[in-house]
Amino acid sequence: MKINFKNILIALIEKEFKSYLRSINNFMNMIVFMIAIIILFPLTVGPSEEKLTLVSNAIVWIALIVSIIPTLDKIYISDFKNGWLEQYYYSPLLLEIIILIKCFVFWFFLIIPLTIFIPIFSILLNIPFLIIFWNIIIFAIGSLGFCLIGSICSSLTLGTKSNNLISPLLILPLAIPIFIFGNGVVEAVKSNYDPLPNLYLLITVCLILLIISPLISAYSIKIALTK
Amino acid sequence: MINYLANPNRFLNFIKPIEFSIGVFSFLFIFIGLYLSLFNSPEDYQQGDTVRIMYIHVPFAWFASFLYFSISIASIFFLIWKHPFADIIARSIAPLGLIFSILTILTGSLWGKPMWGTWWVWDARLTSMLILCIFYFAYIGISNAFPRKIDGSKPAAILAIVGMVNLPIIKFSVDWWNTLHQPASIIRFDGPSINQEMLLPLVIMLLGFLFMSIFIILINIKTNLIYKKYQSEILKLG
Amino acid sequence: MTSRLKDNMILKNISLTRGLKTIFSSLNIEFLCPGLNIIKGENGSGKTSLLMMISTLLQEDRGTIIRFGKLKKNDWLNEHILIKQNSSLSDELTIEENLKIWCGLKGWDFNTDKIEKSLKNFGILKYKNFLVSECSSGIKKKAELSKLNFDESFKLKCWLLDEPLNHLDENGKLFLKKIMDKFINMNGTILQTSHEKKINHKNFKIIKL
Repeated sequence: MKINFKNILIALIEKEFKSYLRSINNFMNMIVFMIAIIILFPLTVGPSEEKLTLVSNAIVWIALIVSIIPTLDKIYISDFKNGWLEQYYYSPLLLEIIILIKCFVFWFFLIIPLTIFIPIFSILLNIPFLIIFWNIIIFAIGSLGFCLIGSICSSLTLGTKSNNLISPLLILPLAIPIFIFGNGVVEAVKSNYDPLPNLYLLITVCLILLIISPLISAYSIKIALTK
Repeated sequence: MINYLANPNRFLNFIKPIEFSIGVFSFLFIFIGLYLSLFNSPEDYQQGDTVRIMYIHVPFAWFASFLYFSISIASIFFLIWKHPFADIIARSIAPLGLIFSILTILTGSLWGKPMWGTWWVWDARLTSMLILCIFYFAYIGISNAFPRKIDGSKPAAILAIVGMVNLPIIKFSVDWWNTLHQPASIIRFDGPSINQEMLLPLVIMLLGFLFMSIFIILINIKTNLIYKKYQSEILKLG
Repeated sequence: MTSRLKDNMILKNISLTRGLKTIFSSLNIEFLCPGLNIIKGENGSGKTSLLMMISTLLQEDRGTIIRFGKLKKNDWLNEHILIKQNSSLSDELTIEENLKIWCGLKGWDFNTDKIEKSLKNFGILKYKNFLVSECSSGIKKKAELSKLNFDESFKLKCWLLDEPLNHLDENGKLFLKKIMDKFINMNGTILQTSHEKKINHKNFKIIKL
C-alpha cells in the first residue's frame, strides 16, 4: 500500500496545533502564574531597587521555569488517556520522529510566545536592555532543551497514580546544565566577557538532548503502552 | 556464576550460611575502625579533632555514589536481559543509598560548620551530592508511583541509567570547578596524599561499610522476594 | 491476492505474563485465514491481552507468533487495525478531525468527502462537527468503527476488534456485519472478541480461551 509521509507530517502538526489551540487556557494559566510570581518577588524581597537589581534576572527566569513545568509534565498525559499515543505507535513514521515533532510543536506554539513577556517583565524589574536581548536568546534555545527534558520525564511517569508530583522532581536535576550555562551567558554579559563559549555549551547540551530525548521518550512510551 | 545466582531460590540458599558472618564482619570492622579513628589516629595539623568526622563522612559519600552506580548497573541488566531479579536488587539498594546520601550531607555540614564557618555552600560537589539525593528520591518515588508496583520497574530503571550521568560529575567536579571543597586526596595518579596513620582507620571503616551495605541489602532483597511471592500468591487465589 | 490466500496466522506455544500475573502458558491457536475468528472466554481470561499481543502492544515471553508468513514488525503495523474497547478519539477534536488525522497518521490520503462518506454509512454524518467530549458512547463507538469503512482499510490483512458490538444499536450492528462480510470476501482476516451468542456470519471459527 502507498504510504504518504507528507500526509503524516501534516496530520501530526494539525493535531498538535488544534489541541493546543483548544486548550488555550493552559497557556493563560502559564501567563497568570508568571505574573503572580513576578508580583510576589518585590513584595517578599522588598521594594528597594538595589536588592531587586541583584535578583531581577533570576526572578524572570524562575517565573518562566516554574510556570512552564505544570504544563510540561503533562505533555503526553491526555494523549495517553484517550489512546492517541497508541495511534502514534501504529503510524508508519518512527515514534522517535513523532515525539521530536511533538516537542517542536509544543515549543513553537506554547513556549516561544512566552518570549514576548520577557521584555515586559524585564522593564518592570529594571533589567538593562542588553541583558534582555541575551535573555530572549537563551530562553529560546534553553527552553527547547527544557521541553526535551520534560518529554523524558512526562513519558516516564505515564500511567502513574494521579496527583503525584514526581515529574517536577525529575525535571529540575536533569535541567541543571541548562541553568548553569544560561546563567553563565548572562554573567559573562554583565561583566563584559565573551558570552559565546557558554552559549555554545548551551547549544551543545540542547543538541545532545535533541538526539537522546526522543530515543528515551519513545522507549518509555512503548513501555507505558504495554501496561 | 551470575547466571547461577540469578535464580532467587538458589540465591537464598547461597547466602544463608554467609549472611551471619557478613553481619559479624561488618560489626567488627566498624567497631575497630571507630576505635582507631576516634582514639588512635593523629589530629590534623589544620583541622584538629574535627577531622575525625571524615572517617564516617567519606565512607558515606563513597557508598552513596557507589550504590547508585550499582543500581544503574542492575538496571542495565534488567532492561537488556529482562531478568526480574536484577530489578529486585536495584529496588533493595535504593533505600540504603538514599539514607547514605542524606547522612553524607548531614555529616558534611557538621564538618563544614567549624571548618568553613557555614553549614552549606553551593559548591559543585555539595550540589551534586544533593542532586544525587534527589535522584534517589525520584528513583524510589517513581518505582512506587504506579498502581501495580511492578509497572514502576522499567521507568525507574531508565531513570537510574539517565541519572548515572550525574555520578562522574560528582567524582570529577572537584577538579573541574576547584572551589571550597578540598581536592580529592585518596585516589590520585601520584598515590595517596593522605597521612598513612589516617589512611588505615579510613580503609577499615570503608571495609566495614562495605560489609554493612551488603548485609542490609541482603535483608532488603529477602524482604522484597517475600513480598513478591506474597503478591503472586494473592493473584493465584483471586 | 493469490499469495495472501496461503498466508496464515498461528500462535505456537505462547506464554504471556502481565505484571506478576500469568495470562497464557503454552497457548496454541491456528486462526482461520481468511475468515472471521470469534474469541470467547470469561472475563479476565485474556481476550484483550491476546489481541494486544497479536498487535505487538504486549510482548510474549515465549513461543512464536506467525503473522502472515513472518511479516516484519513495521510492515505488520501497517497491515492491521486494532479497535479497542474504549474509544481512542481525542476529546479536543471533532469527530471529523479525529478521523481525518487518523487517516493522515496512517499515511493514507485524507479528504473531507471520504470521511463524510464513511460517517454517512454509519448514520452519524450530522454529528461530524461535534467535539468528541460532547458525544454519547454509542456515537463514539460508531465513529471509531468508521475507521474500518475507508477504502484503504479493506486492503489490509487483518482487523482486530475488541468487543465491537458494545454500545451499538441495531442499525450499527447490521452495518458492521455488512462491512465485516465485505472484508472477509476480500480475503481479510478478522479477530473479534465477543460475548454474543448469535452469530450471523457464514464462515467463522470460534476460539475458546
